Amino acid sequence: MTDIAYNNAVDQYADGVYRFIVKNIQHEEDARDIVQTAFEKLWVNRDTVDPLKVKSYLFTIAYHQMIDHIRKVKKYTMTDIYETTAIDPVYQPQHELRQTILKAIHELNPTQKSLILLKDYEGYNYQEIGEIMNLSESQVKVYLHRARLQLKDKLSHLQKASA
Amino acid sequence: MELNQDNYENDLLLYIDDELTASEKAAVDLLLASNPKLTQELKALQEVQLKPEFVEFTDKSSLYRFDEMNATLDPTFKKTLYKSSTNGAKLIDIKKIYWATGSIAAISLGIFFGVNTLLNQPKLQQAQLVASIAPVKNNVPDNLTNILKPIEKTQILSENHPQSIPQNTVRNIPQSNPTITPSTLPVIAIVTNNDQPILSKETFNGDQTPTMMESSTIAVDNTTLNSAIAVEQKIEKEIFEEINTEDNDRVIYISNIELDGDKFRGITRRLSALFKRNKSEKNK
Repeated sequence: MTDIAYNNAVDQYADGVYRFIVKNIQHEEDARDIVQTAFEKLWVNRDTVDPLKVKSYLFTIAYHQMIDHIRKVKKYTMTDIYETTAIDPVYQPQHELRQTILKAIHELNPTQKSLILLKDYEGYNYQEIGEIMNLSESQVKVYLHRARLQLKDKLSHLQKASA
Repeated sequence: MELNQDNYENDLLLYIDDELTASEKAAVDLLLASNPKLTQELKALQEVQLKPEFVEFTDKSSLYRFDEMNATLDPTFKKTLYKSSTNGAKLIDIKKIYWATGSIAAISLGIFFGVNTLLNQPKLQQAQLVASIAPVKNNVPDNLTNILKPIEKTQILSENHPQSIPQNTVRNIPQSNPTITPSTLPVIAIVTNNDQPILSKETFNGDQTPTMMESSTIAVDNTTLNSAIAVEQKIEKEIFEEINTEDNDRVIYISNIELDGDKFRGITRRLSALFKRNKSEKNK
């Protein structure tokens, strides 16, 4: 990979990698650091990385960096999330419903959240997600379906409560 | 596989994740069209899907890299840099050594001359005192010194030939010489072998230099003798009084510090000896 190809990869994938990380950890500075690390590794290993798999390489590095970061800061504890993201059961307008869904997503564990983000934002298929997250295709399918059903039940519960 | 109420949920999830083949997707579309309940279920699942949103990484310039960033210097060029920098360091060191040596020499010279000045101060004072006394000596008539020589010779002669000098002989002083008076004449006591002091007073008229043979002794009275001895004693007394070498005068004052001259001199001598020893060791 030449420096031109690398800089093109920066232009193409930096935003997506950053969005994936920042939506996961909800911390911009830490997300920037993780993105910097991912691209630094791409630059160091530019001669060995397949140019056709640069995007998945970046997401793979960023995902594992994020998992390490989460383990270090222990930011995602279930108690903290429930305390900070209590959902109001009353009726909310549509634009507020979106925020409610996002908050519900943040109640998921990091793996479920990453599965949804990679699927909905980046459009990866199960196999690609499995490669990035070091999971099998069937694991990706089961975990992702379980996360979606949890979100649907939570949302329907909210809608019934508001009605 | 035929869709029914039991397995539709899994197919709907695969449907929204776009993981179905074209034929499977067509089968789901057919089921959805015939079953409004499944359509509601599909809408509920689609509601919890995240809609793509744009999030920008604002500092992309920090991620850009260029091959020039990894450019390395030629090792031979680096060596030339090391060499030039090393020579520069040596030059700086030599300059520092010169400056240090010069400053040490200047300080040493200053200390040496300062100490010498302090130590020579008593001698200078003595010299000044002697110089002040000199006029007193000069007040003594010049003819005294001229007279002393022949009389000393006469004394020697009298010791060797006591009979050659007639005792109690006095040569009369010519009255025509106005400059010499009995009071100004130098008087020397000549001790002969008979232990009888003979005062010899040589007279001369200034024009003629008296010789040993021409010199003669004159007897003077006791008053003249006493006055002459008093003059000598006065001169000697004045000299000894002025050259006072008591310890109080040897004290050296540096600013308000009072130093013992002898001790200070001893210290300086030891220091000079130490410097000489170091110098000799270095030469070896």
